[in-house]
Amino acid sequence: MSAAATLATTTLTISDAAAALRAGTVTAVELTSAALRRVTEQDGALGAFVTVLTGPALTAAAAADADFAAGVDRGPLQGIPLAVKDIISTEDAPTTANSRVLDPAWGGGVDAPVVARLRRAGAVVIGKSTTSEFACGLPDPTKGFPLPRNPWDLAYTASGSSSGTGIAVTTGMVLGGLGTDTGGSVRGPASVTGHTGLKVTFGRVPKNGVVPLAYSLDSVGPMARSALDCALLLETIAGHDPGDPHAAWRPVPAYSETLDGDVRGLRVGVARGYFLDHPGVDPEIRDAVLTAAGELQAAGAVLVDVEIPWAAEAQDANNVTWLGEAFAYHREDLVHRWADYGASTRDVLARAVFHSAADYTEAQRVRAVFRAEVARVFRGVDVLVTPTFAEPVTRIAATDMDRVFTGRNLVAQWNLTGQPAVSIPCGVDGSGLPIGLQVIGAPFDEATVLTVADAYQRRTGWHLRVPPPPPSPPAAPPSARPAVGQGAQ
Amino acid sequence: MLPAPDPATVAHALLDAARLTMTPEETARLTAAYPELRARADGLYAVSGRDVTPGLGFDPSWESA
Repeated sequence: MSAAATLATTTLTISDAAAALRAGTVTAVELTSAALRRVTEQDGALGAFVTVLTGPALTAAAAADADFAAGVDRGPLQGIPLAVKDIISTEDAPTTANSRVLDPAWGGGVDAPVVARLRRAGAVVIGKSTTSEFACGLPDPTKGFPLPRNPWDLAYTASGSSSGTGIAVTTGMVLGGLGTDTGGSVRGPASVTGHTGLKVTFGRVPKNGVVPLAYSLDSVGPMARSALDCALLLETIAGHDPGDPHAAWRPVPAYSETLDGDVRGLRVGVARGYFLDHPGVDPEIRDAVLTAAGELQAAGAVLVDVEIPWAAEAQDANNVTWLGEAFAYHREDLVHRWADYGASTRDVLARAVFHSAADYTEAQRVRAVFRAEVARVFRGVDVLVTPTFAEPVTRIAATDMDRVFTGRNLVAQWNLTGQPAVSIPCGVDGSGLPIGLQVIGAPFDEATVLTVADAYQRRTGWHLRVPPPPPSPPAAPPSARPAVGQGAQ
Repeated sequence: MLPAPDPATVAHALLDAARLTMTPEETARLTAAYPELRARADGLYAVSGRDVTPGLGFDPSWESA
């Protein structure tokens, strides 16, 4: 079966497709056409895309093929179809942030550095993917944007806010893509839809050209089927850019070349207590994560039980921080254009008025204390493992904004500390929905995080599961949607 | 020490001061959410001592931790 045919019925990884492109068993145009066909067939039901860029994608794919024919090889992303979350600026489509509020000219028709780097590597951007409005809130179909649905069961949420990229990766509409993560927005969709999503170290990837949610927490991260594919994406998008004052001046390792499956002797901290043993952690999820840790142990890793103090307070500190920073960005629009925001977005953002400047400052003191505690723990381990989510996936009809602030959150702590963390699938729950394992590393040690994830994926196949096609779409196919926010989050 | 104010009164006052044109239902919902949000923010003050310096910038080293 050719790579394009494989994509039409199941999914390839980026590394598989890169090999097929070089072997001449598939062309970039065939690969992109197969991806676009899958979008047409499935996205009416799944709501992964705000804008589908059929023409530009086929043009880029043809250019990739021409380069191959001319002996020009730009690396493993050449000719690979990708999705870009619709809060990231691109030259060939407006950036909506899934909102009626954002100026349609935002971004100035210029690629964000992360997108420009993907294009220079020969990647094919096939569309702008659905996000929760301004990367917060919940999907609000009344505002005319797609409602993202979990491809394993359409009644369930695809989490957020990078839900569109998550759906597109899981279903094989694309082979990878970009999301952003301020409090779990890459790892959440990866967990509940069943693929690999990496929240990078703060500053590892430039975030200029990305609509901000919270200045001190935001990060742009790769989403793909495997850890190896995330490594290929990360080594392309990482590195300093003068337009982002937070972007780190650090060399970018060849992450993909360090993945050898060898975790012998690596110290894996199993975060107990708040992260695993509390009654708020679902037993099925706890068991799946402990089984996954056992798999790492079988591969030669050394498991170490650890306790991490102030985890609940760190979650609260992250909430105070992102709410305050987001409210500063949105205040004038909230005052003057309240009704233009989606109901859940304004419900969330308005809660910022309940916090004081002293609360924000105290949250930063908690950040310092928690970071010191985590640093102490990391003197005895190389990575930590936890569940990505403590609770099973939520039904769309049961989503509740209060839970954003009161539910047990296991991911936001690592935005507060700025550390890298990946979510990889490690099982399914009783409803058949994926369970995520989170692997957290020391700052700028994405290499070890990805090594652990890759080692696990070499021994298991959870990341290769593909949901069956959804029932016939109830809505018009994406190609029939107006380009700017007329679809239906 | 003054008696603790009624949470609903405080929530209303804060929402009014923000000049957000919310519906009565939204006001009621947010007012109901206020006590827990306040308690969680208050809980942050139990974590750090007075002499802890806020982590205002990201430091990739663990050295200052």
